[in-house]
Amino acid sequence: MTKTILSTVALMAILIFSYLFTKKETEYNPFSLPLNTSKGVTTLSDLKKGKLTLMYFGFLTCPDACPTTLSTVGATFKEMTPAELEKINFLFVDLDPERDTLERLKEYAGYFHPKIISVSMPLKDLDPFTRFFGVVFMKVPLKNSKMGYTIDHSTGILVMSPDGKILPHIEHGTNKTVMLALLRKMLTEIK
Amino acid sequence: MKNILITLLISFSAATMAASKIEIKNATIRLPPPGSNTTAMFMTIANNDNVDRALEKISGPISDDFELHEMAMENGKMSMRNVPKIALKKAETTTLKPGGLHVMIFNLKRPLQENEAVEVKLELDHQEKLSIKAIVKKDL
Repeated sequence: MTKTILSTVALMAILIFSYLFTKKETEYNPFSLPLNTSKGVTTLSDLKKGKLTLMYFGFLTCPDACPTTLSTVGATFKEMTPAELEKINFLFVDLDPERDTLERLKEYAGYFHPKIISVSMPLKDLDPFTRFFGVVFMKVPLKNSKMGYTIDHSTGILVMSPDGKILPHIEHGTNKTVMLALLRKMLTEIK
Repeated sequence: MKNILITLLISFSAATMAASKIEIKNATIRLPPPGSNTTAMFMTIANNDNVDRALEKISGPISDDFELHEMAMENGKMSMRNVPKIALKKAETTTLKPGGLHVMIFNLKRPLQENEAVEVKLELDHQEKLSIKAIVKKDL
């Protein structure tokens, strides 16, 4: 009997707590968060107006996924018209603020395409920001490596409509031709 | 002139490898973007011997920090781990490529130039050492 009461109380406590936590998360608004970018301080609300916003999350010591993706994105953008590019934002959101600086991020991202905007934010902001967009990242210590630690991270390109709706992401490994077709299709759909 | 040099270098490295049963092909280093002094090297390694071998160490004048790494993709999440060695199974070809096994190069001592041939030394588990040239490429 006592057991039943205890477990009921425990269950209720869990329900109340999860309610409180969920509530807190739904109140979080990444769109009004001031973003420190290579083009100055701005917000997603301002950026997304009338545009398709693409976001990729990575870091500077990332040897493979990040340069591969940014290189394909750069090559795709080179095929697009200025009018098309005008309708697109591309944000490279840094997942390693402890090691990377906005200055170096700007140099890095600009190399792939001047259109790519680097975004740097402290870890405390990065946590809710990535969680909101369903992006996973994790700092993993590496034993016997000069790297010290690496960041495991989601590799898809997140796509957001001008009204802030999350569209199907662009998968890692998508080639230039497919990416170009996808972006052009999405551009016609947001008109 | 540059082409002659590269051809010479390639034939030279091919000559040094002729005696080995381990054959390295298409060794390339990704040209690191500015702002990054970390990069990766890829290649195919054919083990034409009838015993299993392993690649244990890489070194070269461009850095003091070469490491063997492996990438894995799981549920859309990319992870990378250093590995102590890369197994080279007998009579098989092992490919080091983007998204899989690769050599990480940290703390480059100097900027690399596109298309330059970089000297790299590979050490295998049976004491064999191979000197190769890896070509720096922008797009891999």
